[in-house]
Amino acid sequence: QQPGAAAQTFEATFAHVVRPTIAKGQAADMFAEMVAERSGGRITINVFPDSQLGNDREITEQMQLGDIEFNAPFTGVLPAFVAQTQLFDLPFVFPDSRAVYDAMHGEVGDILDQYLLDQGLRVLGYWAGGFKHITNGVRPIRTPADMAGMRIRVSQSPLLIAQMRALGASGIDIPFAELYTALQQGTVDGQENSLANIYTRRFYEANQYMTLSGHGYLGYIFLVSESFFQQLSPDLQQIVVDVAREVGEWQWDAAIAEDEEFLAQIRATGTNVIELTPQQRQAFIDATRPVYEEFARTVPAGAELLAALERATAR
Amino acid sequence: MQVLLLFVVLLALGVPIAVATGFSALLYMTLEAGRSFGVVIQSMFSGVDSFALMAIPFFIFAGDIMLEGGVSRRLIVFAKRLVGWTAGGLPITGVLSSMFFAALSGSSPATVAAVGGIMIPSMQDAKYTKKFAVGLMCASGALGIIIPPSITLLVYGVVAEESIAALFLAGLMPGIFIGLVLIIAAYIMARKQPYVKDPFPTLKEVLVAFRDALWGLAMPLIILGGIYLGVFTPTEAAAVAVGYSLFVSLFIYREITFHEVITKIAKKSVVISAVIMYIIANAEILGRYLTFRRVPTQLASIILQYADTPVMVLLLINLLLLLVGMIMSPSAAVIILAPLFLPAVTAMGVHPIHFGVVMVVNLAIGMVTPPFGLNLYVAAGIGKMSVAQVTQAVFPFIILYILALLVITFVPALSMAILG
Amino acid sequence: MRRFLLFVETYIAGILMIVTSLLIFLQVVLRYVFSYSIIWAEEFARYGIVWFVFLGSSLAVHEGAHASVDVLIKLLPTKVYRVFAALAIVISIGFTATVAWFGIRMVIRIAQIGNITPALGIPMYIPYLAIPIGSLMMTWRFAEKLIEAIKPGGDASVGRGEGN
Ligand code: NA
Ligand code: NA
Repeated sequence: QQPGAAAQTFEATFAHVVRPTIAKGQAADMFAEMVAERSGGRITINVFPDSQLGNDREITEQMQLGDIEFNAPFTGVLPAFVAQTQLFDLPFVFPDSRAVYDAMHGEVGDILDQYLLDQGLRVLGYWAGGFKHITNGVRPIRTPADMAGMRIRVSQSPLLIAQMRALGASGIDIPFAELYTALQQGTVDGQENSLANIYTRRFYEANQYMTLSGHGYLGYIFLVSESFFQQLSPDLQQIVVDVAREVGEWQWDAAIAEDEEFLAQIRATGTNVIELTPQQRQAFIDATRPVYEEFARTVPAGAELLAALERATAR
Repeated sequence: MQVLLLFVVLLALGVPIAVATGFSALLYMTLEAGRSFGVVIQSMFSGVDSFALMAIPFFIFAGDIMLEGGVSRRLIVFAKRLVGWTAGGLPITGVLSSMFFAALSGSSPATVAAVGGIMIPSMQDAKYTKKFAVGLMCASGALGIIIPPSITLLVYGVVAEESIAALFLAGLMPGIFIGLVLIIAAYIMARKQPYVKDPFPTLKEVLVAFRDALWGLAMPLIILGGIYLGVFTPTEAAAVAVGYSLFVSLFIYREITFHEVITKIAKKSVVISAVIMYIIANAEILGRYLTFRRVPTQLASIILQYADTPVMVLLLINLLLLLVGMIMSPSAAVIILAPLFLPAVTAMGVHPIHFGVVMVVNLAIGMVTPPFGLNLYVAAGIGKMSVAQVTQAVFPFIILYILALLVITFVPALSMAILG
Repeated sequence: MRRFLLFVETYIAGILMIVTSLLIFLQVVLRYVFSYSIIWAEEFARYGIVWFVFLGSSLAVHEGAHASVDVLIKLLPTKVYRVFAALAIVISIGFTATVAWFGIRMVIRIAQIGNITPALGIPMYIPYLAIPIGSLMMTWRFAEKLIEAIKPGGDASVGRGEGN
């Protein structure tokens, strides 16, 4: 380090795409505040929520170009940057939130960290999103057979489309911005999303049935641009890493509590919420198993990741 | 703020609007805000890379195919037989068509492209002044984001954490109210013009015109029915319109060839849509710069600091939204400003749903005001007029919109009564 | 060069307009009739539009279709007006050339990073390439306008303002 580096000050941008009022948005603000405080003002972080500086793909690209320093993108957009993150699009990977936390803070997380770092993105933590559930406007879904012939909106991922096909439904691509009206008009029969999205985007207004399938997981990966991180002196790097860990732990608890709150809110609206028995759930797990082979076949080092995942969830 | 000054100077020099925008934004983005080439290029790309905007070029293309392929001519004859004998019949039909289309589409420039493409030529055919025809269709297209469904109300619902269904309901009466204001204005203005009033048609004339226009008349039915029944989304409807009008023009009327579609019609539509979307691309750099420098946020805090009575606050918010609506897209404006204003106005007793309607009406006006009102550019492209001429043409309607906005702002019942 | 530009502007842009709209039309038919969705249709259409917008912007320069406000400078004496009009074109050239330069750097950088598009899985620099190519063509077209504007008796107007 050159002399005087310790006195150097940094101004950074944290851009994300969610409301500042939900756990992820609050965590972003909290991170910015705590870093400013602990660094004695040597690092200032300006937070831009609500996609003000672009969508997740654009923000992450700006991180690689050196214009934005922090983001916690949704795992679903990261395959365009790192193919291995398609892991999150697999069906029934994690039985519960605890399993997600353990896997991401263990061997699986370590493998993904390296792939992301190769793209100039340093992982500061894995943040909780929530499990994905299915809403639809046709009939209560309790078995895969109930989904036969349904058109379910999924985001543009081959694995998600394969999942719907395995369940006898069709995976249909409708842009997120048009989804509410598409559900309302019946252009698609249903969609799959986290409770946070189902509640804040009001999908329950357009679909009266919600099955708590928990078939997928929607997570966030908290990233800092590697080029920015390397400009920081070791003590500042340590502050960033420490604060990220503390905020990450807070975010995890807050997001899980929030998810329960969203579920209660959705129930209160009179939405028909269907819970699956263990046997019913198993039928969905069995039906979607072939998707794992597709992942192992199409994603580089996919088999290795699946093995690590198995070790993590076996415990 | 200096960036806007530079923009105005360049504009006055006669630099194309898109270049004046992009040049000043690029300069400030890189030199003042220290952002890299990547932000500039990504902003331009992102401005155009949008599924919702797709409806603009497609509806323009469909309109041009119908014009060259003989579909429009037959529709115009039918419309003239049906309503051409009444005072203001065609302009009123134009406003009503916009209201119907607005009830299915969430976008305001798409409404101008879809309805104006037919109604502007038909009004001109009846010798209404071009200025009147273009101004009226440009203004009534703004109903696209007020009458539900509305992309802007949807974005507001998410940001304000309010029911989207309730917001859509709340937008209905204000939308119809503005529609009625426009219809009355169209009637009064039409009577003052030396337009050609057709003789009262015989039943045979109407039936012949109906038979000739049948293929064309099926189009709005297919479009409206298809969206209503959920066969396709409002954006996809624009592509369906292209497919259908190509089919009718090439295979039924056979007035054009496929070669003409590429060399003449598509070429013309490409130029018109490129002009509009190149402005959007450059406006996006400016929008991102202003956001990065938090300019709208600063203006909002000034207002909240200095206004003390509820009436003052609402008036000043209206004023700011009108200004911001001139520069930023409605969705971007809602995302940035709604969270800033909501706590203040709800503390004053304004219902968040009512405020959402007020915001959207404000931003709808922004769609017809220079420099970045997209409706102006769509109308200018369709009507082959300069933006300055369209602005002049739409001016009387802007005044009406502002009066209607004041009513909607200070009579909450207009929006809220329907919710009970 | 002129013929080549006109070919690209007319045929490539025109065909892209037709292909993107018919692709979305096909998507609707497939979904409604077969409950099937082409995963890359929407993405292809969006990027196709980006391409025809930037190619079409060049054609729009050639045809003098870009909107401008020349009410003020039209009030000036003819000689002064011509100077201002030429200045406006020079500024436009400066802008489109800068965007082309930025665009080339962006394309190189994105190609180095190796990002791909989410649905089509093609390199991300291919959609971005529309910006430098379109901007280079616009620069050429503005340069033609400049030559025309400084020629005695030539047409000095940049875009579609009040005059035409
Ligand atoms: Na609408
Ligand atoms: Na405007």
